[in-house]
Amino acid sequence: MKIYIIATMAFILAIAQVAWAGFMNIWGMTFPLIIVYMWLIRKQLTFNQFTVLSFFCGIIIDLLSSSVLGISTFSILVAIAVINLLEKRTIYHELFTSLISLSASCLVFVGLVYYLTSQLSSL
Amino acid sequence: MSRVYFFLVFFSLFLISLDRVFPLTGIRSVSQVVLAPVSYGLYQGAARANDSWHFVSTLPHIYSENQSLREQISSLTETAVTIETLQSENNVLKEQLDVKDSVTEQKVLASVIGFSDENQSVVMMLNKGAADGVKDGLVVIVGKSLVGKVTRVTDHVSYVLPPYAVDSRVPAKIIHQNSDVGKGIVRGQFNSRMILTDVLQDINIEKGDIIATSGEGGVYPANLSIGKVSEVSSAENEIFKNAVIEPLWDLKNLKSAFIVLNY
Repeated sequence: MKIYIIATMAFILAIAQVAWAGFMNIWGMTFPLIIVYMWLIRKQLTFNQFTVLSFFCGIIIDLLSSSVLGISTFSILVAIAVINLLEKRTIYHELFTSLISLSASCLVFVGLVYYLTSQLSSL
Repeated sequence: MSRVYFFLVFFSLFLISLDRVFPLTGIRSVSQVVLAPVSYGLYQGAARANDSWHFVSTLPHIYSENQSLREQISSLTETAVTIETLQSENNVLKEQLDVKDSVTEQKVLASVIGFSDENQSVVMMLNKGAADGVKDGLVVIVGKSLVGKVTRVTDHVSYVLPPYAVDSRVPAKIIHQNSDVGKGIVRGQFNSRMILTDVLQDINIEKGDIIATSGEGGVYPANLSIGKVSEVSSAENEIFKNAVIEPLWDLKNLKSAFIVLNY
């Protein structure tokens, strides 16, 4: 039951990522709400479940937004890999590592979406 | 890292390549039948919350704002009387010369359902698409203000690029004290900024002047307001001067807009 609630919330937030982009615009970049949610639920799911859920959230964002299909999906998958790698492979204090993984994944997601969108739309 | 992860990463890269070669507009249109109404509900909820917050945050300044608005009303009433007189004179002259209004706009009302990032700017999404007769390049307005241009359309959603988008160019005219004093080009800048360029040095442009579309080039209809001059920069050794333009409306506060089908 818990996994369905987590997944439903994730899908709603994926739609909200696009619907609320105008309200979450900071210096021309959209705040990655979906990545923050993914980071919050990272310990509630197995890595495979986490991956599949992230993939579908990315697909929802891509289907609603005007950018090339797959950009957000790829970026979200890279961002969750960053969360996973930093949290599993680092030896620092847990809170410090968690905060680093949150900041790094947000930066990776925003950076990748921005870079891929600008590169692919100029082709 | 599991096999599932790598499979999904490769699949997403495959989707990017596939969408570049054969744009998957069919899949997008079908999925948007379900996703667009949810996005619309979420957007409207957030817009209401934003309005409430705006109302609460402006409460301390309401008295002073009220005073300045009263002053504006009295000056606008004088202008309205002048305009009414001119309008009736214009009607009489039109009747005498047998001039008919040739412009008949056909518009479709669309609701905002969200925003998307494109070319370093926010793109507004409206809930009307090709199924409602919307095409690429159509102009979107609110009242007599320019909101943007449709850049991409699916069956049920259209994507609107505002005039402050990077690389946006809008031929414009400067309205100084109710008269047209010159022309320029409104260029979009990064982070929702607009600059009026190519304004001749001898043109009198001041803070508060209204910038409207000139209609040149045929892309945008004439006389749609774009923004207000907030800063003028000029150097004597340059041919042209520039001005920073402030939009008349806030994209976040828009709940609906009109797509002009023909003009």
